[in-house]
Amino acid sequence: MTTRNLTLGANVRNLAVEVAPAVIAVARRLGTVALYLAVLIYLIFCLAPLLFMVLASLKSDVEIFDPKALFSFTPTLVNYQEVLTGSTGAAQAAASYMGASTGPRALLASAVVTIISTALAIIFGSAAAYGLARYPFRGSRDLAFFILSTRMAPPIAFVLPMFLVFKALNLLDTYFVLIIVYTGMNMSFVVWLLRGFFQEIPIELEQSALLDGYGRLDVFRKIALPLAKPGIIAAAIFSAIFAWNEFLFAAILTADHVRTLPVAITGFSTSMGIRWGAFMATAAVGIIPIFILTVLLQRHLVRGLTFGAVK
Amino acid sequence: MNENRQSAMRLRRRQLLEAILALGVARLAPAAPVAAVAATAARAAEASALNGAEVKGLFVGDPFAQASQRVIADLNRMAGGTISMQVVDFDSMHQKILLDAPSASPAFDVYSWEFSWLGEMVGANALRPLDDFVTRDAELLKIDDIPKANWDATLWKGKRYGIPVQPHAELTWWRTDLLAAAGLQPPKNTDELLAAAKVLNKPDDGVYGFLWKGGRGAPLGQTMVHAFAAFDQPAFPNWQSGNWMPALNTDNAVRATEWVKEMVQYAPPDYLNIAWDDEARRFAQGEAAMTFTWFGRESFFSDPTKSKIVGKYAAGPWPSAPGLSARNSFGGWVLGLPAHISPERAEIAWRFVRWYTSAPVERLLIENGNIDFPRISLIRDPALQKAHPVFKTVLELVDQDAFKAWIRAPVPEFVALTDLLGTTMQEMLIGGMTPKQACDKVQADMIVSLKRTGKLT
Amino acid sequence: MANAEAIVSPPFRATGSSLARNRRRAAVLFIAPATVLLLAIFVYPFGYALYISFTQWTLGQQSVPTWAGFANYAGLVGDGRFLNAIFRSAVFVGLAVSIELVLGFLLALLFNKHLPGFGIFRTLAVLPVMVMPVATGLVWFYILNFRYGPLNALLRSLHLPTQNWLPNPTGAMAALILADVWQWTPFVMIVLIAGLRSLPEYVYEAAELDGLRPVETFFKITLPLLRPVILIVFLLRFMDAFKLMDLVFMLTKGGPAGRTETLSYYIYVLGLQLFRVGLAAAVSILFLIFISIATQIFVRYMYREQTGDEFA
Repeated sequence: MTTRNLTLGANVRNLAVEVAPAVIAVARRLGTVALYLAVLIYLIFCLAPLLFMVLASLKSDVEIFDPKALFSFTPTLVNYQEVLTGSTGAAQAAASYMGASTGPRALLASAVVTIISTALAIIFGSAAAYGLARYPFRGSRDLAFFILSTRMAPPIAFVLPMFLVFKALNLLDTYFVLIIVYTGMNMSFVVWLLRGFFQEIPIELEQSALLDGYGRLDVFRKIALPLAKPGIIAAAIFSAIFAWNEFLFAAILTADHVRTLPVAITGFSTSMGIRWGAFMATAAVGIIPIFILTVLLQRHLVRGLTFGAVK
Repeated sequence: MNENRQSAMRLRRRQLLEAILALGVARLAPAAPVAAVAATAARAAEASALNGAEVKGLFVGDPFAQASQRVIADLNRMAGGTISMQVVDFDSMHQKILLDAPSASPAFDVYSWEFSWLGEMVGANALRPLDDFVTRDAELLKIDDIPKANWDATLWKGKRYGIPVQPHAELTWWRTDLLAAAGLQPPKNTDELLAAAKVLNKPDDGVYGFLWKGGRGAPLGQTMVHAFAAFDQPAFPNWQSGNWMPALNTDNAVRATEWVKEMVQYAPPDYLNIAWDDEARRFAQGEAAMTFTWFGRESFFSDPTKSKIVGKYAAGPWPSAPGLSARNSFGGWVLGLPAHISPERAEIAWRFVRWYTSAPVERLLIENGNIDFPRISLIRDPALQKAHPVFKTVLELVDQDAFKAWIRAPVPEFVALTDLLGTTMQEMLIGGMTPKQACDKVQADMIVSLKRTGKLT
Repeated sequence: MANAEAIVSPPFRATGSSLARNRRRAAVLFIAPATVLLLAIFVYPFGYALYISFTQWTLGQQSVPTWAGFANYAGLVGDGRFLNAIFRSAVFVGLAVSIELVLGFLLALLFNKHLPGFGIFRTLAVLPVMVMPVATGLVWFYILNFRYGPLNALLRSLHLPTQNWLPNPTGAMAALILADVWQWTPFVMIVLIAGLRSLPEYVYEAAELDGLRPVETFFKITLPLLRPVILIVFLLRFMDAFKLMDLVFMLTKGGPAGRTETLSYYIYVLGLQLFRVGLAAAVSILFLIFISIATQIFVRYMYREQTGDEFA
């Protein structure tokens, strides 16, 4: 009995060994198809709202509210014209009530504030991260927690005190005030992200450099920073996204001289109505610079977060 | 400070130049009487409201400001100076005026404030009384041309705090074709409105009885205040004499609430989410037989390329309970000066306000997208009436003195009141409370709020 | 080597040696600018906010704050609206962050594959994170609109019953969570992909040699090594979701009837619409205390098992 079973078993096993690769290949093919399908489904979920945003930006205000005109309508560039050039043309004027836009100025203001505050956050933040990583002292854990705690603060809690402080210093409605505030708010993220990166760098590299007579600052600049570049880029991207999209502080601390994109967009919301077309167009335009930035840096992005996160 | 001195110097230089010019012309002119020439010079100086100065205004992003931005070049030329306009949204306007206007050196010369904020503004010492300017320039202001209700609403405890720049009002709108088909007359009071809404409510045909703005907080809160008024119930009946006891759960109030609750049965299922001006757009798409909306939205209805109801609508005032006189609330914007503005800048700011709210300038704004009723002459104007037929309806209401400021009493508590009403009434509408309970709750909460700020003991 | 390590790594005790002084100077040089900036920006506003929380101050009704001691805090104890806000925040943060973590993790596993085109897919998948939060709120408001929103249009074309999303109490909270998940899951995904890609190869080789099955490898090796990443991303999302205000502002305004009025939004209403800044400050301080405690717990847990880490 046992012998026959064994033979049977062996035969089955032999058969299986021969058939297996083909089965696995087919399964793998199907599996791959399934993977692409899953990715496609998720991407539809991701991109559909953006699609509707763009569609709405190409419609006139009244068309947006016609359920039958969801996909069948005549696209118009009037909203983009208004956002980007500040003029609407006579036809639009009759049907809408809104005037000149601040689109181009807002883009410029946002760009200035974002670029400078991100650069400063990276410079100061990377230095602090390095210091916390390489030169710990008795209070450094508490200091690190303090830095993290600045990210916990709900902006609304501090907006009034900050308004009063900056008003007293006569700094309201300047580029300086937004840059300072955004740098501060991004610092915590930068420090915590980069601290892990610096800890990943083998200490021996820096030690041998020190023994060779390099100054500490040089070691930082020439060895640590380049090795942490992916992390720096990751921190830069998310800091830029934050500064570019921040609304509350920009709204309260500035008026019109410095007017960033998120504030300009809420200017389309009047006490009697909301200008959907212009709103959507501004939102769509706002994504483009950040998206370009991300596309250019996305390889570094993935590698960057790698080092920092694991520790 | 430097800036103020500079523009003041500029102003004086200009005036000096003009005076010299006037004298020089007088010298050269052969037989022209000096007086006539001086008068010309004076008029020339008058025509240039700003005299080369710059005025800084903080305005809300409503149609008047946005129309102004469209024609800012023309405005600057007409004013003979530079208008520096900063435009913000509603909440920001409210915050900034409270945070900035009371200060010793305000950042702006002119602020726009909403009628219902007046009490709050005076309490915060944010606005400068303008009686001295108004008395001095009464003729130039042409006060008779300003609708009485709007003009009175800029008074607080006998002092005047601004000149109306964009008053607007909500009206009732209905579909003439649908009413005629059902054999109904335009509704004249709350009962008729309710009856009409019931008859005309045909959800299966895609047409609801009434498009109601039920968005949480301000939209619903303001609607409730109107409803109370329709049933002759002011929220704070005796505030003028210092008695702050609210009257939010009287029989009138409860009846008003019950009426609202019945009305919403004939509204689209998502009425609780209708805010901003969706009701106007949806009315233009033919979604309901009636609605309340700002009269400026007529352009949504009259454009044949956008509206499905061209020629099939009419407007009238808010309905009152049967037997009560017509009463319509109004809201909108007023231009004022900050409390501690320096005398030189006050003069510039005043001249700007006086000029900007005058009929010719307001007319230019109306032609560029603003629809309101700051000046009676404008809503009487046949050309403008032709472009905006709703002006006829508004004119009737002005003549009947139907606009009542007491409906949206400008007390500091108004915002708290609308917030409270909006929240509690939404709860009631989704079935959490009966109308009576909701009214009692609002009354109790309002009393707590008043005790806290010391207005009630 | 020990000597060389002493140059850079171990915590130093205050000594008089020039090496220690050198290190101290270096530490100050690196850390000071950031610390000074943060102290300058945050300490005074925090102090001022703390002070205001002990006053009764309503802008527009009083020109100066009046001292009120613990009145604001005491008043909050039975305050229904405050307790409601806490509850709503708890529901929102709990559900949104959980969904984002789970979904983000699954997506990370999915998008991490080295298949043709996946690089582009990854970049596209990050787009939601870049949208302005105010715009996100409005776009979803539009999508979910009963009458003219695309979602109901889709349901109608499929002959499914249309839903009245936003005016419905549970629907509104679901909408809020949906919008937040849409916007932030890609962030979780990207961080976790990075984490997955950083796992050292040799561990997997060793596992294979030991004969571990894929499932076992996943649970016994991958997951534990990823724990720090998961915890960091959880921490970040937790803090950010609690602070969220723009989305509520545009999508539901706290409605219907307060069912989506999160703590953050309640602070906004108190401070910048009702101008009761004293009370708003008190709620903010409580908010901060809670988050600090929660985060401290997480941080200690996260670093509990790290060896050789000076911060443990």
